[in-house]
Amino acid sequence: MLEIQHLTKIYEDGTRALHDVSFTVRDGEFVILIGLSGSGKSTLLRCINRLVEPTSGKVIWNGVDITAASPKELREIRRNIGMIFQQFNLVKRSSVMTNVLSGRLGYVNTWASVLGQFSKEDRQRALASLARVGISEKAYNRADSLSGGQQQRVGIARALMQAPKLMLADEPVASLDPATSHSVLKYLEQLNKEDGITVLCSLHFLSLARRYGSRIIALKAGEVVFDGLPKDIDHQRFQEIYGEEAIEVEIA
Amino acid sequence: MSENQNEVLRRGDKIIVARGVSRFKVARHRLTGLLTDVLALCYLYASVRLLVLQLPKYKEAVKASTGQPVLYVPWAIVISAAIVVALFWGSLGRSLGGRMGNLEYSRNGSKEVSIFRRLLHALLNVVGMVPVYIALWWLHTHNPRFETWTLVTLPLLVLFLWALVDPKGRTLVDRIAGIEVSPPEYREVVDVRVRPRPWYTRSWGAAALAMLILSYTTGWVITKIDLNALVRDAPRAKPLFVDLVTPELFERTPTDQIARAKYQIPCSGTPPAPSEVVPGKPSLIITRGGTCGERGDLIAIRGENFAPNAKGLLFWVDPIGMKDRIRGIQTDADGKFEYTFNVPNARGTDYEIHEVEAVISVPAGPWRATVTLRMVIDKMIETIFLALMATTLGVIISIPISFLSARNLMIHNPVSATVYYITRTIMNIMRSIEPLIWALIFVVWVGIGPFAGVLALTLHTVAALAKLYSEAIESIDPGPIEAVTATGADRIQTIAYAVVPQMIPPFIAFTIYRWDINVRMSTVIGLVGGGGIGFLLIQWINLLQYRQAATAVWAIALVVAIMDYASAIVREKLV
Repeated sequence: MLEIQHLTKIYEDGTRALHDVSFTVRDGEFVILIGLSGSGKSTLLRCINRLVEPTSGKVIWNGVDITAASPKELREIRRNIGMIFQQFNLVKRSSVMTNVLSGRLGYVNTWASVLGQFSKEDRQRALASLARVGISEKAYNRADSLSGGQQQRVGIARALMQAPKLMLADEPVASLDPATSHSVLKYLEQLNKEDGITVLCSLHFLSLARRYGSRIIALKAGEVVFDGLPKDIDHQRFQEIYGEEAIEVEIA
Repeated sequence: MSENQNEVLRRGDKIIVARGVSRFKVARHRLTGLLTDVLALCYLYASVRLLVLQLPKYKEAVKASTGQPVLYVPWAIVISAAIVVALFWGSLGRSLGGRMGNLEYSRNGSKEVSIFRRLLHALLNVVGMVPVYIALWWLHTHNPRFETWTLVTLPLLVLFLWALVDPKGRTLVDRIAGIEVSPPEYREVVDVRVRPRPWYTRSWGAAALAMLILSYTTGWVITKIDLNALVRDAPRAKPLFVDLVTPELFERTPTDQIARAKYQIPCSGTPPAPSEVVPGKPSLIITRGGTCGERGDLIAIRGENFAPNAKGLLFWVDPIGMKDRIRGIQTDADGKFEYTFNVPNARGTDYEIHEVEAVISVPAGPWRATVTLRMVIDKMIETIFLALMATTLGVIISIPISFLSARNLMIHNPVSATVYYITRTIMNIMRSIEPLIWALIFVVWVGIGPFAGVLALTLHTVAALAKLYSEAIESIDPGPIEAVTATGADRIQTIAYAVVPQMIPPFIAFTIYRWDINVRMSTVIGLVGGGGIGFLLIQWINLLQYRQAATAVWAIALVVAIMDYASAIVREKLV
């Protein structure tokens, strides 16, 4: 169970990214974060695995206080949290295989990994992950030679290597076309339903959120303004979240 | 209004956001502005004085003066005058310093300050400062205990002390004139209807333009550019250029034609028989002075049947076979020569037979490389390997140093931040000292030779590459680093998997760039004793042997061109 308690983040130039955000996520949920750009979705996700240090507040996961963890403990915690990004964040010049193997870095010995020594199990696991997302034939291509959707799937395979219990997805489909977006979100749904991985995903399109999410949390200017089921977002709620001039756009 | 608090005012149709101001920030900006103006005025004064002194009427006076130099003004007066003028100029609106320090004049929140108020402000500044300076100068001339530097700095201190006391950073003069001077973060008056005047019509623009023009004029005078000399003295360079384009490369193996004539010192009853001209064979006969005589006698010799238009040497051979050079000789178109000389003071007991020997060198054999060419090739090989060793060692040493100099890796905790600053500073210092100077140091340390050159080039390479590599590290995409860190990798794994792969293309590019530079540097590092071809080059130039020097120069050009071409190909393939 993931508990966010009174999480606040104020950047150095005074920008208030998060203000007193609190909610709880039970295991196995598929929670979708929505909100305008700049409402704090990325910051919230990054505060959970402390890629960004929160100013105050706590993040407690399965009884462990992430915000108070030492660097060594933090690495062990991060091993169990997978993350995928809007810009895919693959190492462009490296092969797909190397990128996927780098998901296992939290589990292997430092110097062995620097020399590129991964065990046979790890390599087979990597190929299995790639097969699961459907691009095992691209295993030895350079990462930047793949299309956007394929790169995001490599990102998912990399996260899978960690055998994570929690998956954070920072706008994973914002750079993809509608069909590929559905494809990527279907993989996440599969991971959620078949592997029981809790997913926390931020999206731009409410229609996608309604289709895939079991619960929606909406942020506005760093505060939670809605926390509930997708069907509870009516037109009025929609305007509260997105502003008075927003129009709902369907993504086919 | 307290500091760091925002206040929004609406005045008519303008919105003014007045953010809290720090008096120290205001004082700092104003001081910067004033110093810039003072420097600009001093520079203008110095340039104008320099140019005026070039005028013929003053040039003679400068040469003739012994005591007080012409047009001399004590520096304290110059700076004091500059301060007063700068305060006046700054008060009228935007001076150069005002532009640099981004200062704005405002009154009650409006940027429109009337010209009368500004003139009042300016005059108050002058009225405030001038008497003070006059009084201080009078005190100084009557009581040398008042040092000149106090004349300049004390009035300024008093002026700005008031600015630090006032919460809005205003000086006494500002308060009397009712004006506020501040950097733009303090006031933001949004009024898009007014179009700004072009820069050259404003006083700071005109001053900047004047400084630019004066700088170039002064530069022309100081560097003594004389286009006349370029044209007039061209013939002086002609023999040099002729030598430079005819490098000494190959020569035909010279064979020598030798002929001798006997001579006895002193004359005895049986002088040697005179030599004869043998047809077809190089011969030497003594035409005047006979075949015997005393040391110092004048004799004339003639040579025949030698190769035409060839050069050679005339020797005096003493009885034990030791040769002493008399002079250089040359044959005419018929293969003949005639010369006169005095019998040299040769060793030998009385009545012994000496000989006059003429040796004419005839280039008739097969072509072969000159000694020059062989030396050059030898040294060029040494030069290339010098560059190779220096670059390789430099690359290896600079990689770990570049990680220590990378801001985004090192700035996180205080210990590593200190290491970062120290490393950066040391590398900057090492890089500002040219390799030639380093070579001088190492030549004293390890002696003349290529080792000193390798050390010097390695040191400079390390410093330069550390900076280039660290800049490449700082410019990498942070995304993959975020992603790899999120998987639970520690710092070393993150660097190995996210930083290093992104670094490879710039790394290769910079290495090849440095290799090019080192090849060039290694050719000249020999000028100070660092080994390589520069060593030969400087000696030949000093001996005025320009043809040999030309060989070295052409060899350098050829090798550098080939290396450039090769590295372009390598870069294309690898990056």
